[in-house]
Amino acid sequence: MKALQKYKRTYILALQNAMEYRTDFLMGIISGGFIILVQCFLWTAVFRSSPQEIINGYTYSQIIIYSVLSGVVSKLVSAGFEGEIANDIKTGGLSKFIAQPIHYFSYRICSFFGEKTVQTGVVLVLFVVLMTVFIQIWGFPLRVGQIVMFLVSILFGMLINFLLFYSISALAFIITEVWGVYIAFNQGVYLLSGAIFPLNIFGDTFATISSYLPFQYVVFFPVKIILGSLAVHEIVSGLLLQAVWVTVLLVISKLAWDSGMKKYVAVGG
Amino acid sequence: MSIRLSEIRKHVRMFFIFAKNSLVGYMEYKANFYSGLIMETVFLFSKLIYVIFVFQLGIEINGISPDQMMIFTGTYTIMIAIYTGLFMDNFYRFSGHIRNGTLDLYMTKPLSLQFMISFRNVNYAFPIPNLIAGITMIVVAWRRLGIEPSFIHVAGYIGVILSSTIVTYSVLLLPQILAFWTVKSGSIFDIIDKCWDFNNMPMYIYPKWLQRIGLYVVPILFITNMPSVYLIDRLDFFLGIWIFVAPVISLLVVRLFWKLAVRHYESASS
Repeated sequence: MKALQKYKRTYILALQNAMEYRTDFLMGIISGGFIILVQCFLWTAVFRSSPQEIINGYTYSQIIIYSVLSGVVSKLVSAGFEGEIANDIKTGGLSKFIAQPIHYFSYRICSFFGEKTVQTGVVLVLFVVLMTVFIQIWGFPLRVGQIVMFLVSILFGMLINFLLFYSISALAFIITEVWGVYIAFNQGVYLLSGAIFPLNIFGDTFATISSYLPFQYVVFFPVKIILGSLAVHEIVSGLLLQAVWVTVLLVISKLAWDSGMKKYVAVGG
Repeated sequence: MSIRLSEIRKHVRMFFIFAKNSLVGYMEYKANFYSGLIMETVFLFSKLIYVIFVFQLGIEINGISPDQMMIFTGTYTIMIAIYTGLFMDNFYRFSGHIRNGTLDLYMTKPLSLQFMISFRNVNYAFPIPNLIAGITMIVVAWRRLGIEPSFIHVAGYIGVILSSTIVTYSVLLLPQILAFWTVKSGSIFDIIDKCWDFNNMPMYIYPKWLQRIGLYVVPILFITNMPSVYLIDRLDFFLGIWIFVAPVISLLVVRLFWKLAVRHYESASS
């Protein structure tokens, strides 16, 4: 029981920290909202200019809901700790974790979920407001089962994103000026997860390629559950694939960190 | 406000020394340069996604054809190169100068304080991919649209880009000046900063009221739209005059606001 205490403490610390900065997160969503607005204006103009009712397999209401929700979800699952890890590695802050009885991975994941708990609260309120508006405007059908599956897939999405960024963080062991790679990776994940455009509008080849990658399970898949464009068996197999990716990425991150730790020389501190 | 020629010459000379200074910095820390290059290239791709999307759709959106759309994206990319190369690093550091008291040091220098703050650093990494991609897009779209590449077109386009650059400087420096009062940079900067995203797409996709605000009140839409609008011959008489008037007004506003702010400044640190 005592062993769990330290993880609980880390979780609560991160939770308190996020509580302190909850307006920051809300402001982050609002300023991120501009690109969502641009997206909505673009789609409105596209649907006005096109004679078709359905473009790339989406109706107008579906694509607007997709644009809004994908923006919110991508903000929710975002990692943002990679800079701290790089700093720990560069300045030797990691050394204390070697001596202390808490594993760095466990420390990071507890603090990640502590932060996300508060943000999920903010997003859930926002989600209820948004969905009420959408249902009012378009009479959009939404079942309880869908919402449950959506939340489960978001949880998996967070895990996948955490592991992706935790793995890439290990690059700081070999590259000292790693910030550019991090921001590039962040933007790459943003694109490939379907946060800007739904992944299937760029043709079948692109959709097939991205189905073999973990990124689409971070944003694209959860949002599609809410849109109601997936059958039950598709949702279940998607959730299973998310679990598979979590396992694969766990192994990858372990390998990356093990080989990185061999290089670690504990400068500074 | 009397400006002497020798003062201008001094400031221009200093700008080139600052630029050289930044270049030396990059040569010393090459990793920083490559890091920036990689990052900006990926960001460039996320802009190209929009071009791919529009071409794949293949229809005119609110009267703008895909080729014309590429003119807008190309101009946007060139403007990003100018902004990131000349202004961004300086603007981001600005509130730090107030917080850490380095502004006091700058005040003692025999140069205009606003000039020191605005042009101390030049970024060489970010503009490279953007300039290459932006100019390529403009040239390709220009050819496909069959616009005569006459001297008047090229010179006019460069002229409007210059006008846009001045507007960019003014509009994006303005929120930073608020740091004189708030000391810490806050979300308000972020929000105005993110308005830049509206330039992602031609202004014709926005409702009329938003276009008007973005052109005449907070001229953020001016930045990429005016040069493009000039190229695709959509310029009316009123917009034509605005190209000359907007940079003058915005520069004046930012200058007056700056003077007002400096008067309020009471060395925060030390």
